[in-house]
Amino acid sequence: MKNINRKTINKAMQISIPMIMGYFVLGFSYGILMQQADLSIIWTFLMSSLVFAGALQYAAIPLLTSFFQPMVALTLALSINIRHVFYGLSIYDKYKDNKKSLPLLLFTMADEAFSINMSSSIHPPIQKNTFYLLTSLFGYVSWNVFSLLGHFFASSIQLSIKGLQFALPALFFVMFLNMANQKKHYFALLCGVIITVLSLVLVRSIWYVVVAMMFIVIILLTHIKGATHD
Amino acid sequence: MTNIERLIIIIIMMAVTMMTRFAVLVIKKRNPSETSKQLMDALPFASIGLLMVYGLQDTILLKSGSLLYEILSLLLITIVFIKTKHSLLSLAIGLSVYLVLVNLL
Repeated sequence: MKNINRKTINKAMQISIPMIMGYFVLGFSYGILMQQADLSIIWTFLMSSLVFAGALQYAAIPLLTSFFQPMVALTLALSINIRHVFYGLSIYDKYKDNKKSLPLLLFTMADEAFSINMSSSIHPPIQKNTFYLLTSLFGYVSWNVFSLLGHFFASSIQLSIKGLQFALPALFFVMFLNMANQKKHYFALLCGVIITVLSLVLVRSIWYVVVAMMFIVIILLTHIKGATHD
Repeated sequence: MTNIERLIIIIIMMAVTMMTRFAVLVIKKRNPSETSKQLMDALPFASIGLLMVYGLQDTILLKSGSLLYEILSLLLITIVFIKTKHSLLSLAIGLSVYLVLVNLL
């Protein structure tokens, strides 16, 4: 981090603009929803700065307003964020040389920072370690700033926009298209969709996510073993 | 719910989230078998499929109040994505059209 060159900053900034725009909508909507749930701005701050996981933050709003359900919080966090385990495994080789910043890079590893750093190819004079750290920090800071602004803005002018919560499913849908666009692992992708739809329809409680995950692992393992035998 | 209980909920979610983000440091120390390597390859795809359904659960169960607009928005996102391959652009367009429809009609 000693000599950050201007080219690195420019490149990281440019690539981060779509992420920051996305976070503007999603972070701002999150702040508004937290305010509409009658939660103080301190909770928005704690959620965004400590948990920093958009999907979970949205899903956890009811958990912060109803009765005390620690096991549901644990299951929800695990089922929504388990994908980060696989993000970590995929991106580790790019991050591992950056020993000092590794904890920070992993702490801030949300969907967008992961996909930017995973898909960008960085060559000198752009410093890759600084680049990864900058995109991650741009994401972290903008998410925090926008969620606080959303909360503050909602309570000061009583803004009422309907349908903002649709930002979340829309984001997941786009991520899904992105994965499909990689033109591999169609079986796993379809398996994820079909098993989860079936569990959703049959189980009819939040536990359907966990049921779906179990069956996905079983079916993928069977598929892999079947393929190796052939 | 008391503030202490609320804080505990947040700490649980932070701890679990960070476990998932830092898990790689523990896993990389071991030598995974060929089967678990292949599973690790395929799982991100399956979890994105799961997450997509999770996000759209109300739409899929036909419980959403604005079903038609949601389907319209998803179609628009798909079309823009196929044309441009730009995720956040398609998201921005699809979401804006949805918000306009829901709030103005």
